Amino acid sequence: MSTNHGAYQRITINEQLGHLEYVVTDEQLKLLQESLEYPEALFPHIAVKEYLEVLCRKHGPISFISAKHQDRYYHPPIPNKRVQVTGWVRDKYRRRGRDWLLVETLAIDEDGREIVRSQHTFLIGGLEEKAE
Amino acid sequence: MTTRETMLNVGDQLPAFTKTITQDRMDLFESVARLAVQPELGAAPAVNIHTDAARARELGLTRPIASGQMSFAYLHELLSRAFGIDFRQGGQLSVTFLKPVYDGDRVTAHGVVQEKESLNGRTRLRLQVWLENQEGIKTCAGEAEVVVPSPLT
Repeated sequence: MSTNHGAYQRITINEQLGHLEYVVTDEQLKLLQESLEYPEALFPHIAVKEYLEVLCRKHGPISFISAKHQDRYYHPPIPNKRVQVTGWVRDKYRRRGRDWLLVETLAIDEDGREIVRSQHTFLIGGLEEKAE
Repeated sequence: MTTRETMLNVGDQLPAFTKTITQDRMDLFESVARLAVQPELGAAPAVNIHTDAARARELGLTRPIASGQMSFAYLHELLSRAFGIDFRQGGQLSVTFLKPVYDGDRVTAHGVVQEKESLNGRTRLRLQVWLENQEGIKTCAGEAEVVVPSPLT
């Protein structure tokens, strides 16, 4: 049985995941804007993949493929402010012989300003792990 | 209130644009995460299925794929261009990833208004959004919602 399967088995619905904090820097924003060729890109969390960080900080590295992502935006983050991210497991299920996971995150800045609430659906493992 | 957004009607399309995916841009995109969560390592890209062929093969892929989040970012851009702060403060975007996007692919962002509703002096728009590759295949698709002007602005 793969490491992925072991980690997946330990995960419970509604459990709180690891805590993530980072500072949105000007350098980070510049990299984001350059990578996307869009000088007005203002939400680095899209590249930071907060949902994955909070999951792996608690359960270790997990191989996955992204299936779906949803964001609700409140305010763009302010450069040089610390962003604090909290995450929860909102669902876990097996479908078509594969393991799926739904993680929700809420990012706020150091002043308590809400930035974004996200939900991300993972297909755990990779294409080779299709079983049954 | 801007005038352009509220002049949109059901069936209207947002201005489309095309991006060319390159491994360099995929690496740069991945470096944003590295810089945020491991700043002591600088802006080197993380080694993962988006940057490294061996890692990609481990997951049954033939080569690195662009992060789904890059596709998500393009649709975010589509909506930001159209609605500005009203999307960035109060907008919602939900995207399902359908097909892989690779180095060398060209993806075009599309959006079309599905619903328009007036409420308390504001206009709520619901849109279908998607990316299409150079072969006309949808690589991701979803829905967005924006209220103009945003109640958060």
